[in-house]
Amino acid sequence: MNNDQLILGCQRNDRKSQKILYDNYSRQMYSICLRYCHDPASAADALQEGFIKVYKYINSYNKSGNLYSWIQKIIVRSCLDQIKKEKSHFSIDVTEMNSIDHNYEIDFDFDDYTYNKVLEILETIPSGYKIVFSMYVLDELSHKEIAVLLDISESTSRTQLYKARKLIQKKLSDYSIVNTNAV
Amino acid sequence: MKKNNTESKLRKAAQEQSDLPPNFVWDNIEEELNIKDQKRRIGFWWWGSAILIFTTIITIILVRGNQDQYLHSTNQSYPKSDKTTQNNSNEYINNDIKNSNTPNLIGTKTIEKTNKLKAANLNNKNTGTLKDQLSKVSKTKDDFENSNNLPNHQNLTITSVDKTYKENSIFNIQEENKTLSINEEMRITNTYHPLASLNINSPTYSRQLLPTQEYSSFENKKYFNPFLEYGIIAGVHALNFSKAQNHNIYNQRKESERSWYSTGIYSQIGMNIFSNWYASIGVEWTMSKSKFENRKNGITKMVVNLDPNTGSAIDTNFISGSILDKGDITLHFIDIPFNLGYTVSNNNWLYGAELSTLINLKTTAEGKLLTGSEIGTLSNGQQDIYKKSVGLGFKGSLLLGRKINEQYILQLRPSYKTYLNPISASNNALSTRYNLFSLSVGMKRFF
Repeated sequence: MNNDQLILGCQRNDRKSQKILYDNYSRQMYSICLRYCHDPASAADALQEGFIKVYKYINSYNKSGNLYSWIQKIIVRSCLDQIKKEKSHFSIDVTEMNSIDHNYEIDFDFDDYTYNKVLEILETIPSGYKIVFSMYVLDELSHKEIAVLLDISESTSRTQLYKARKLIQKKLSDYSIVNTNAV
Repeated sequence: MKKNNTESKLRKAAQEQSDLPPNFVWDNIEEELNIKDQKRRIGFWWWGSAILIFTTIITIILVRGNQDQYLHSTNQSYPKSDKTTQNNSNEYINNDIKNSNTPNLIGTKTIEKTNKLKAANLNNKNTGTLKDQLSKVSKTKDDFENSNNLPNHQNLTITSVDKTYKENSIFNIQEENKTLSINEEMRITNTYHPLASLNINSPTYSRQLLPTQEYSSFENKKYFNPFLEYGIIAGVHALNFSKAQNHNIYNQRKESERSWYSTGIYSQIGMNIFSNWYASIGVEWTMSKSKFENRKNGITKMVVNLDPNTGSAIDTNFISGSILDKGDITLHFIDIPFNLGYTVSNNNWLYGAELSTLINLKTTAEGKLLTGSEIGTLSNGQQDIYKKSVGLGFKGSLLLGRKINEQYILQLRPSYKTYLNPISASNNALSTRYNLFSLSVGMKRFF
């Protein structure tokens, strides 16, 4: 069953197609949920609500777009709803910086451990930094989309991303120095 | 600063991540989808039925409107007479039968036309002198008697025609500086059995002068009159819990939760669709408050002994005791009721019954937890326990009304309301059903 048939089946509310769609994407989407939510139970809730929305709005899916990205955006939104619902410590510093380097990116010697290290670092930085960084860098959402989803300005989103990048870069560098010294 | 595309690699790594979600996630999704399918099916039938009822009501109104128009424009081909007699009635009917080609039964239709004509004639202010009033009454009676002239049906077969007209009128009049009331009953029943016994009951007419002041009251004025009703609701609700898999939850809520009170407001608009029947639609908001009080044993105090020299903790003791959790839960319901009612009137009193189908637009729940240590702490998450919309509901009411004047009726309405589905969320372990016993007081205004 190709993607078009799958979508058509879901649009017809065919349970078999819905199950195949879930099987195809649930693992990747659950990883996204685990990244945003604090614990596996919340991540499972977010995944569940997210997929229910996917089936609800599947009629509005534009077939020319990427299905993964479309589902991913819904899942990210569902994660944010879950975070807000649980009233976790989710705050965003709305202070904006006048002069930031928009092209600044993290630069680090990437190896097999880097991704997991970045995930560990994300858990230690302020939640606003973590969410904006995850949304922009890892999930490829634009500042405009982030601004809408988080109800902040695009400028604030850019500032948060800049600060997150700086902080993660510093922590990665510290980690590198510690490891080098250890060796 | 892009040296080795670290962020691109991070993104790629993120997309390659794959974690197996717990099995219950799909089970829950499937259950939710099944519930949505069921709701969609119920919604389809419900809206279909509602549209059908609405269309039927509109059709009845339009058809009746056309009949009235026909009655007024009918060229009455039968000779008029001052008094209905057996002979001339038989003559009319025999003529009808003679001229008929295809069956066209008339019965109630003719009566309604007649009554409608009377309603139109009586719809005037009862002011003026006694002479004027008597003249009006006489005219009305004459109209009725003349209306024995049946409409000019080209194709007519009559098995029987019952024409009944009853008018109770109490006029308040001023005559020669005296205030008098006339209590008048006019009842005319004519029964025609053209193919059988050809019985005709003669009209009876009585008039009585009473030394009391009353306002006029015309039963026939009710026809098709649109009305607006609004009022307040007070009552008590009952939450029925079904046994959960976890018996502790069931026992705890059953023992600790008590219904407190319910209140609300309602409004509806409608119109009479038959002689004593009416249909209406409205909006109703109800708020129900429950109290809970739960006493349990637990650690109530922690005593930490500090070293007086260093200030650090050297010993910790826990004291057990009784912990009291108490608070209240408030449920709000916004419903759209579709009502069908039947009323009968006796002088200035109205009695009846009403059946309503409710569509619950919104249900919200909030809770307030008051404990010994956390006075006024808001307990969130009640909405997770209850549904956001309950679906269909039903209400049965008895009606008792008192006419205040020509336009207004004060109405008392004891009711019982329930919803088809439990109000608890589908994933909640404890199924909770909601019932409301209420008494509403409302004002009905006819236009």
